[in-house]
Amino acid sequence: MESFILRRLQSWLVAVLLLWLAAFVMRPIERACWQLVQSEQAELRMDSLGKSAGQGVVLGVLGGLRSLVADFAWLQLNRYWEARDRVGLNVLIRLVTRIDPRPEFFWINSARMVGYDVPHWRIATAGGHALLSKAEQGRIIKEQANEALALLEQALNYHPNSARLKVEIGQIYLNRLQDYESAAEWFLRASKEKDAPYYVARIYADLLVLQGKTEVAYTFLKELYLSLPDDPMAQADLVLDRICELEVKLELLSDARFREDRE
Amino acid sequence: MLRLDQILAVCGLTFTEAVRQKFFYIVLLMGAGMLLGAGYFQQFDFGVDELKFVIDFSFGTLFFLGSILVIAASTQLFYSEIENRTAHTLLAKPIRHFDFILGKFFGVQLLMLIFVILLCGLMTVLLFLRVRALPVVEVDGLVHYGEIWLYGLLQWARFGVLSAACLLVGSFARSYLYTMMVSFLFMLVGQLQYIARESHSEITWLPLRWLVQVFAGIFPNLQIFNVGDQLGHMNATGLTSLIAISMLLYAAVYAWVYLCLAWWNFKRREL
Repeated sequence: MESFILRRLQSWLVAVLLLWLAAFVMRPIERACWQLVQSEQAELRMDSLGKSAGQGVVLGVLGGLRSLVADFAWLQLNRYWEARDRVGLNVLIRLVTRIDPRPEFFWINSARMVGYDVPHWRIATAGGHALLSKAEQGRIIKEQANEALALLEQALNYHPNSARLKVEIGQIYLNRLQDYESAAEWFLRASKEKDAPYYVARIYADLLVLQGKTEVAYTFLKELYLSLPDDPMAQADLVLDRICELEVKLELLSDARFREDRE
Repeated sequence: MLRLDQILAVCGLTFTEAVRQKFFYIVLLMGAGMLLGAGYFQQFDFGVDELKFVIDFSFGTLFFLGSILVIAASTQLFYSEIENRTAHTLLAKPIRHFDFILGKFFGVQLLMLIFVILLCGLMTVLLFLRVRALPVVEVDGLVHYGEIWLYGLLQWARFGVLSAACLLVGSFARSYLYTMMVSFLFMLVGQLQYIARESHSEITWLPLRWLVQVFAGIFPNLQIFNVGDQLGHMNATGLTSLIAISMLLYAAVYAWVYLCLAWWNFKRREL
């Protein structure tokens, strides 16, 4: 009996030592490969242990099939959305974005559901727009907007340079929270990204005007106009019109006006 | 000293036995069916562009079905020899335990090589046809076909590690089901090893920290072979030759260590 236990112990010790030696020798190679894999797949970077374990299992078992699994989970999520099931919706949003955090589509549309649709469901359940006080409605809208913002900020961990996500955050600040300052900040951030649509910078300028920062908006638009490429999509004429409008608003003399400057 | 003729004999027998099994053909047909159906499944795609989806789906099929096949085949082909007592007959002949283990390993690897070649070949053809059917003028470079084969090669190396680990488990296991279950768990643990590796520095309780370190050392980081996002698609960054060779070396070293341990256990086992 004793010799059996000793033999077993010996086997285990030899196994552990050998594997440890292999791990030690291979560590530099593993590190180099791992760094490369991690650099391309944000979901493999450690966030929280529970979340990383879940994503590791999904990746480890499904590999590339996770796109399809996430797509089917998204279809299921839409059934919850149709049924106005807030709890089911939240669970499925978490599931879909953990299975496959790569498509921005999942993040943006989930945030829209949470930020724009769910408040109406909650208000309807609580008695409807006519019965519920404005303050209570505002509280629900704010709560849901914050949830949507949290979701989008989580998405930025995976897509740090996404203009679409930043625009979406700006939209929520603007349309749901009427927080022009934060909205402007996010539109500005979005406008600096490579894939930013041209209109984002124009909205930023509008938001500056809404905050009463007309001169800052004027300076920004002038710089924007000069940096626009020769592309009809850039709508340089529209920017120029806005500049003119601001010049009128700022009551600038003709010799201080932008058009004259350029000529 | 390795005796090549005996290893080849066991390898040949293992391979013949493997290709006689219906399971191989079922998995192969499932794989082919899934690849052919990628175009159909694409209509459920919300997130990524068509080619990226097809490449992801194809890589996923190879990864997922290959893992099932290698674990099932290694376990079946090794453990059945013990269960049916045919290992007795083989080892009574001048075949050493290590030759037997190596023969089994190479037999399964040959089977997996055929599986990988067939699926990668089908993937290449399907993607080529899909690209040609796209309404774009410039189709060159939309898919990096060479990288599809590189992915296949890396997965084959990963299957090698899994196969060797199955043989190790089989060398001490007392039942077929146990071998299969533990091998699947091994794969999962290997995929999650990076978490142990990266979180051990945050653990303040020293004994637990050591335990996690030992654990991280015992299992290979199988997640390093998860390079589907880096390969195949026009926007993929690709892998350098050095990294690809490093991955192959990593798999070879771990497979070799597991095979040595499997031999050590198998030799001491009372059949």
